[in-house]
Amino acid sequence: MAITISTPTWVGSALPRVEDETLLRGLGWFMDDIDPLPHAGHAAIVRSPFAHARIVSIDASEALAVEGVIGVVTGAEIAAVTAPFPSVLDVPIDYRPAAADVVRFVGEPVAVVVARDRYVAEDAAERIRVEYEPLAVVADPASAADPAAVVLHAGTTSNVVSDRSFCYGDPAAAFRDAALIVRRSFRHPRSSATPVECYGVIAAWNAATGGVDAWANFQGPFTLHGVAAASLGIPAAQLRLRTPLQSGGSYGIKAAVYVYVVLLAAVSRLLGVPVRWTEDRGEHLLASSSATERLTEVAAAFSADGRLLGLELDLLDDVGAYVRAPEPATLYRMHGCLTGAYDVANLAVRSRVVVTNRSPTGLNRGFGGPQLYYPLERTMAIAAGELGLDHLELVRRNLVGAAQMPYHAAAGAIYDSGDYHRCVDELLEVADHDELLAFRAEARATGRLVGLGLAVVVEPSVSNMGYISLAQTAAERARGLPKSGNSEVVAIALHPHGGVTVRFTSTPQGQGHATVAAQIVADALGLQPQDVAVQAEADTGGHPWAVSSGNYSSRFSGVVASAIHQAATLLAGRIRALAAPQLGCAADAVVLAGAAARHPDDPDRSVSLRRLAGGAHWNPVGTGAAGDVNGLALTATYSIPLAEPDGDDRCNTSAAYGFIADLALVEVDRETGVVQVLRYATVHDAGRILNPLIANGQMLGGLAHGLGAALLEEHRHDEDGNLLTATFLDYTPPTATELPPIRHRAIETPSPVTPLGAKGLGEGNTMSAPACLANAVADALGIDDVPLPLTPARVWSLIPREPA
Amino acid sequence: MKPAPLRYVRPQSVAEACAALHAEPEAKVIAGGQSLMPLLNFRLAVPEVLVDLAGIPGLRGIVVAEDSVEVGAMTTQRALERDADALAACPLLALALPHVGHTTTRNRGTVGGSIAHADAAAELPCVLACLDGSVIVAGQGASRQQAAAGLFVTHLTSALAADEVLTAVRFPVLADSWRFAFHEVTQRHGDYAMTMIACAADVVAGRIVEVRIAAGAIADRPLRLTEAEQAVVAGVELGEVRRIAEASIEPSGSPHAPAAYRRALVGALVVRCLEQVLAA
Amino acid sequence: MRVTLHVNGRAYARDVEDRLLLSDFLRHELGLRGTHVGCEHGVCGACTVLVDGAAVRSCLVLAVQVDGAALRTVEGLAATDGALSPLQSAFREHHGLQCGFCTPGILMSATEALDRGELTDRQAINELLSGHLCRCTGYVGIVEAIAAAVGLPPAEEQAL
Repeated sequence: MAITISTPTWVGSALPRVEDETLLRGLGWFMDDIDPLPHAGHAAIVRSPFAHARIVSIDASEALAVEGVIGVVTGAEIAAVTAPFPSVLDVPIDYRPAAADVVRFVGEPVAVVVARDRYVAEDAAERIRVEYEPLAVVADPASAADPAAVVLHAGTTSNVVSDRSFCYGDPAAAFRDAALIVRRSFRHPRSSATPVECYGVIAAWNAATGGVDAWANFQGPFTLHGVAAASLGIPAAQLRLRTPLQSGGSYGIKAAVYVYVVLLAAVSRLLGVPVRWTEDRGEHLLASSSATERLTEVAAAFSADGRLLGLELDLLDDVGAYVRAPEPATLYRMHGCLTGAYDVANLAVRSRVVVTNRSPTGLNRGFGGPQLYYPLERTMAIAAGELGLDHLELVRRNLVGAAQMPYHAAAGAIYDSGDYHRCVDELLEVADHDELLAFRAEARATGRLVGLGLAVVVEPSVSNMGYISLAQTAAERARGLPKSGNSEVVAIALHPHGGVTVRFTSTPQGQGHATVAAQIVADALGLQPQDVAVQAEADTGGHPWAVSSGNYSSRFSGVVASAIHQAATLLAGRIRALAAPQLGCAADAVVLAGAAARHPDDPDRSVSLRRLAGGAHWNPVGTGAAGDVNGLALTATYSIPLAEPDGDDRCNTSAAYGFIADLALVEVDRETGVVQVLRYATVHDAGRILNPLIANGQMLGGLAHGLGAALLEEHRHDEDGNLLTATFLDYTPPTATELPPIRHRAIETPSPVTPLGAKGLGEGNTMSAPACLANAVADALGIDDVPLPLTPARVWSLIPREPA
Repeated sequence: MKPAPLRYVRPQSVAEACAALHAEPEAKVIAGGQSLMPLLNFRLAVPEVLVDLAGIPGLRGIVVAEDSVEVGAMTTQRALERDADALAACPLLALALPHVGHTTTRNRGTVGGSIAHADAAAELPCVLACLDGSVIVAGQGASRQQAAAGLFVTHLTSALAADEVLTAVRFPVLADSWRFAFHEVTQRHGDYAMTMIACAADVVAGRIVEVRIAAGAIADRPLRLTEAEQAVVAGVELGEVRRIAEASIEPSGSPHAPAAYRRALVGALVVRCLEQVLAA
Repeated sequence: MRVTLHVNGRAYARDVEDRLLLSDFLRHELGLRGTHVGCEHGVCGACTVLVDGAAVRSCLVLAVQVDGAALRTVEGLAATDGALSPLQSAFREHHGLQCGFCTPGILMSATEALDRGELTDRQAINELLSGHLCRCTGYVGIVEAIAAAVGLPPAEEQAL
């Protein structure tokens, strides 16, 4: 009789994190905590106070006289030992880690001081005299795109450095046949996720090898390691880039730290000493990175009964002074799913990139999603009003149906799974929609400004490495190397004395990758999660990695977890094969449980993994385990199948697509403009949840970013390009008191494209919340034009008033 | 973001502190440092000498008397917030103190430091202006009393001479018939206010017979809204008081809070305060 | 200037520059890296430590100002036998941390407030947390962890 050996299933359980104890005791090793190269000099960066100016001269003599100063390096000297950063766009933009002759944004580095400590370095930095000749400034995308505007980069004829048009289906016919066409303009402001830990870099140039050893709280290697090596003019294998064990948050923002890796490596080369730099908050807000500002023109064609027949999107992304890789990816990350959650086959898109005299943009939680859904979801709400339909009803009439899955969206995305209608139904239940409607009616009767907002979004995860080539025409793509897929490399080993290590390059910044990896491996090998040691940090010289390796586009659950699962399954197979002769059963029948290989029918016949490992390691000849580190250490790569863009510019831009539906009830204070969110409800379907505790944390964290961007956060510049939000008193991320009561529910529709059925999550609510709250405030005020963020002063100015 | 080089001195008496300030024109007093330290870190303030009052005995403590609550300059805002007798004697402090920064800054920030810093958007100067309070100032000669009116000269500038030290703050205790209200609008809890109104009103038989209204964060110093005060006492209806209050000021603007918005907030918060004291 | 003080019960004496920030002193002079620096202008709260029992931002204090004081940092929260404090354990159970960078400062603020018995409801917890920035958690896990450490019942759905 077969017996059942109960094996706990770790995947899917709300296991508290293995990462936590180290952090709770203050024992993490963050970037500023590590000192791998003793006696490194401390850098301070001299930055431009002008948004656009010619550098006339730099006088460092006073700075060099400060006691404790090791040296000063200017942008011109750095230019001499670096090459421009490569870009996917074929335009002559000479972007270096420091400006040599022309500065193009406030905060652009112009010189670097290295001294014995940061205090002295700052003393000396103040004594560097830079003479500037100011030039005309274009500090917003609309002015920059004006053909009459001053052109930022010599060799280009326009600040619009990329202009692509796409057409799917027959949008012209859709608009011809429409009963209603809604046209609106939107501006999505710049915001930034501002991790509490700023950037940090340590770099040392090796004059003997011409190589660089660097440490940074980076989130790659990703494609950007190669970009950094190219700028340094060294073979990529000569740039050994490591990340510390802990990283204090990123949400995409730290992808741009690679620019400073190049800067510090160049400074190290020029001064002959290792150097380190910890960015301060002023530098971070001024010059690190942010989301793009996007201007969007939407035209939406509807039938009389509210069917969305066609969509036209004109997108203009302000990427700042330079097109810093991976930009212009913000424009294309969402490309395949530009039609959102709606079933519409006819789509016309124009995607333009404009450079301005502002700091360069980059990855920021939601990446392209908030920029898309705020215009799209506002347009749906406005259209509902014009059609005389309830917004909810209009959404329901247009949602992609469960029976349509997998759904081929107009621009190429293949929505893998989901039941959007069910999610909306559950949202109404979670939110207690009837109560909200009754409350709104009652409050309005007494003159209160109360509104309901709805937003539905498709949340892509695991980016197709080929989507960025949509910035090129099909003909341009054909001349280059095709790009597709998304991969991760995992090394796993059963050690001679038992215990398993698993290693990959997902560079977590708080997402609990080690915990989930331990859960997956524990399940595959019949272990406890604490038996599994996980290394997820990057070491480009110490562990094989893929060009897609890193932490972005919510790729962990979809591709990294799949790779871990695959590697652990392969190792389990080898363990079974080793154990089978000893247990006297077929390899396939061996049960791995309780840290042992067991006979399927006889619990007394087992051999511990420790004993098996010892045998294989010590007696490879006798056990037949010779080769490939005795069979018990292996490296495996998993690639998620995602094709390159086709000749018609269709591209499945991500591997998996989750769904989020949000409902918010807000009240606007008529006199102060303060928006109070009385209830925020959200339902998400991110496929199979690998760890509910962590998934909830990611969802709530993403929502907080969305709420902050909706209500509080904007990087504002004046017309001279000066940043007006250069401290945490002016750039205002929410604190606990600013966040509303939240209700949420997770629905699990497994993804058919990932081995564990999981999709990425954590960005969806960052995409949905600004759209949802804008809809709610529009409803409360009875107006169409609702700009972001909804700060008290701005909302106050929107409140309709009786003429005086 | 590190302070520029400076010399730190820790005098043992007020006289020693004044002498140190007198000897070094580029000296600056540090009390709790919760407003000064960010300026040092940004190098927006670069004093050569920092004169710390923390070592001087007798500058901490709260005395609740018949007519005033006298708070030693180095008393932390938290210590005042936790002094039930002081808050009962001066209820406006109880309403305003929770808006002063956060618990961790109030733990170190001092009452005297907040007044002497003369930030036009800080709560305690606005409270002192509302209550017609005063401060005790020590200098090279005898110590003197300085009324709140005239104390706040312009943003971050008080009427204290460079070699004077603020040693105590007196918040007047008003009769039992007085009612109080404090309202401000901020981007986030604990942020600098975009506008604040402090109000004290003597309410007799449901009617305001005397009132003091102070506005913060709308000019270079806390302002008393005297025209609105007079209108209230004259029995003008609230809507008209709002209009008078709004018309009586010329607010400065900022990116987060343009002038027109601040003006409207003044009107709205004045009405809110008056409704509250009348309802109490 | 010479600074003599106690941190987590241990005596230290160092000669430091007058301008040295307490946050840098703890991290770079004493090697107590658990105190984190996030803004250096007193907003984010990551550098919060206890000075004579009061939670303060160590970036807004000079090391010379705390001469003679008794400090407590995150390294001093666990019991002498190494066990996590109930507050630390609650953070783990309620997923009150993700990247963990802001966590030490929050633990220190909450430790003072817990010791003083000031956290009587979630509103008080929220107000305490208004002096801290966390960009990972959305604060829900933090509030629930502190609420659990205080002994408050689990959060309920709020009526409008």
